Amino acid sequence: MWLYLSFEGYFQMRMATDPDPADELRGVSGYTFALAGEPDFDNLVHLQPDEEGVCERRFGYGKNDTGPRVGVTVRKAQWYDDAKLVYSEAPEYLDARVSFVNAQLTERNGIVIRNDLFAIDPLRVQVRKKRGTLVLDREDFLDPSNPELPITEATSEMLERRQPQGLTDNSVEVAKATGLPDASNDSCINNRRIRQRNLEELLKHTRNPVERAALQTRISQLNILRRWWELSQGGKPIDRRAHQLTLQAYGWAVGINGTVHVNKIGADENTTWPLSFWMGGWDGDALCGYVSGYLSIPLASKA
Amino acid sequence: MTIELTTREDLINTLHLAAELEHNLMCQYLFAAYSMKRSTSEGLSQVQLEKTRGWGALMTLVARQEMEHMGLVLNLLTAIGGTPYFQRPNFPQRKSRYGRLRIKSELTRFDKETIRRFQGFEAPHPEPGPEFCATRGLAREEIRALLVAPQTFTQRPAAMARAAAAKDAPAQPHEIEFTSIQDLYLSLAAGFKTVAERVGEQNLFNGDVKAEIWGGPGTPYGEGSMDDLSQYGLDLIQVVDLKSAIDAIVEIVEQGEGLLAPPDYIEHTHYCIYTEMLKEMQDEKPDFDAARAVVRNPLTRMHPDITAPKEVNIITRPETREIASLFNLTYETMLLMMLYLYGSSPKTMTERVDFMNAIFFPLMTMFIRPLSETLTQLPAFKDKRGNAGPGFELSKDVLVLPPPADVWGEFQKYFDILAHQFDHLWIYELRPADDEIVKRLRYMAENMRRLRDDWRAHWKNVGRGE
Repeated sequence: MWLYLSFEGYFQMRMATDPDPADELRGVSGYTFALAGEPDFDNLVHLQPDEEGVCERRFGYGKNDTGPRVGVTVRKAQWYDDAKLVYSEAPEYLDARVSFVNAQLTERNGIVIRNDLFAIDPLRVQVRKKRGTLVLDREDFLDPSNPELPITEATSEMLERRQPQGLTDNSVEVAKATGLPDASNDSCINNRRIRQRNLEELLKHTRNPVERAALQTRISQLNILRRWWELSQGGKPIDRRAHQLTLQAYGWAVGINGTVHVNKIGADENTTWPLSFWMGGWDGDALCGYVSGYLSIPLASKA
Repeated sequence: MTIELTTREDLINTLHLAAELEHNLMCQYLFAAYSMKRSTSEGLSQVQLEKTRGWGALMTLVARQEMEHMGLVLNLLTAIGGTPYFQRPNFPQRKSRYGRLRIKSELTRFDKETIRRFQGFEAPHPEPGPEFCATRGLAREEIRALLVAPQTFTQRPAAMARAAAAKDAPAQPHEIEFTSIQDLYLSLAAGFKTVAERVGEQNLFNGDVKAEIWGGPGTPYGEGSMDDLSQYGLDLIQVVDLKSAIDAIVEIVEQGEGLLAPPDYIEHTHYCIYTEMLKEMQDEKPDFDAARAVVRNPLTRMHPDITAPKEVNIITRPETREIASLFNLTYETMLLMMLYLYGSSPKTMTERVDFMNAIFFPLMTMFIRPLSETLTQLPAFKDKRGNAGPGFELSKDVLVLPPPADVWGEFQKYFDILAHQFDHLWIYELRPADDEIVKRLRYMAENMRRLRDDWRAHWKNVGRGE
């Protein structure tokens, strides 16, 4: 017997981007920033809005304040009887909240991983029912024989287990999930222009000097979309501030193998729990992206 | 003033000077950028911190573009059979070091005086009026036409005087006759055209163009994040003929002085960035100090090539000096690796990418910058106030390389030493483990151990890339 939980939603990750060092706390030379009035980056993947460190931004004034809102929940839950090959709904797990506790997407500018195929580390999955009851909590180890192994000492096999399979540009799946009209570059650029206009409108209605300073930085970043490429003598690739709106890192697939901290559904603790997901639709202005995946929990056989 | 360059040697010598200048300016810009405050705990309001970060972002962008200019100059050198050039004198130097260019070489923290000096480095000649940065510039086709048009060359008084002197007169030190960086590049553009006409384009571009490093779509170095340099405000092109040589020079003068910048770009040229920055700084309250109390030219020791010794501040605080020495060794390692990378000694594409994977992201962004920022937080002296900073000290000429067969092993020794030094800093014994500076150094130490081990394993343990 299995319980399949299909989850999705926006996550937040407040992190610096290349060519800032990976431990940069505010952002300088990349395109993501801890803005005036906001705390330093924590580099953590937040799937729930009430996690400490989440700092959601405004995206416009009045009805135009639309943009990613953090919250990853179970959208479909099913029991699967693998003896009878029968699926049945598991409504008690709908809207359950999924968390990756203290997870980071790690690359360290080529020290550990190359070219944005980030490894997720640490990896610990929690599921809370809609009303808040923690029902599942299990961590994964890079090396089960050495649970304390830091990622900087991991072998390539250990790292690859925590990496996506690859990247897809202009992903239709991402565009559909995040509500873009399509996955074209034009749609991405148009989305950023709308965001810029909305922020400029918000700025007009903002008096607080700290909020104004933060908004001005965001607007100037979005304005870069139409700047530097005029000078390029080679190709004119779309700016990453827009491109990543439909970029998908696909194919994370980890059999969660470590300590079970909470198990209130009778899951089999002696085998791995398959977790698969993609991440994408990164909105650098919001410091948010979209995650969609499955957690498959094998149930222990009844004695 | 445009100087006539008529031989390959003229071009190579002038390109060596250009490489030295780009390298020199880049260090000065980075020093100032890394001196900037990064937190409200350093006495800034939230709004001031945002302003400071914006200036820092622009400073690092300009510095990156100086690296790009240096890369373009190295490609120009390689294309005509020259050797890569990473030498420069230690800081500080008198203005006279660069002759009529009058470039003051010194490491100073971010303040109005420093930005005014940087503005001067990047200024078009003759220096334009205040309306310049609001103008629309020229189309690229017009810029090319200007660069390859017949030039009126300025007489070279010093050179002519030397030529007129008796053959057995004592040798005179070479005097740099360019009056601005812009003139240097305009002279190079004209020189490339002249020499190509004189010796034939194919004969001029006889270098090993495969030894060049360039980015953009179709780059053979895509595996090393070179396929899309525009994301970092960069555009590194391959030089193979006269047209691409002129393109490279056009790009340098467009981004720098902006005299020849295309429409919509002038406000983003280095000159206009510094001009606007200076204006913003002047509009701020006088007590707004965006930089840490970093002393001028903080060095671990006096170097024999320094021409302004009185302007040096020797770091006397032992634990800080140890970290400054570690910075210098990291910097020197990076330069030696770049010398090997750009040099024409035989190497496979895999070997090239292996070197790039160590240099361009890990060494530059995960060690050079964090160490620099750490130094500007540390006291320079035992007995007086003032913080240290990255001295970019070179203990010897960046010339000596091991034979190709031994290269990997030689650089392994550098990584072994660096990892050992990162792991055994004295500051770990002087400050608590939860001190932010100690934590950051420990993080760098962890990363250097990984880099050392990956180099030893020929990268077989690094995570999969695209």
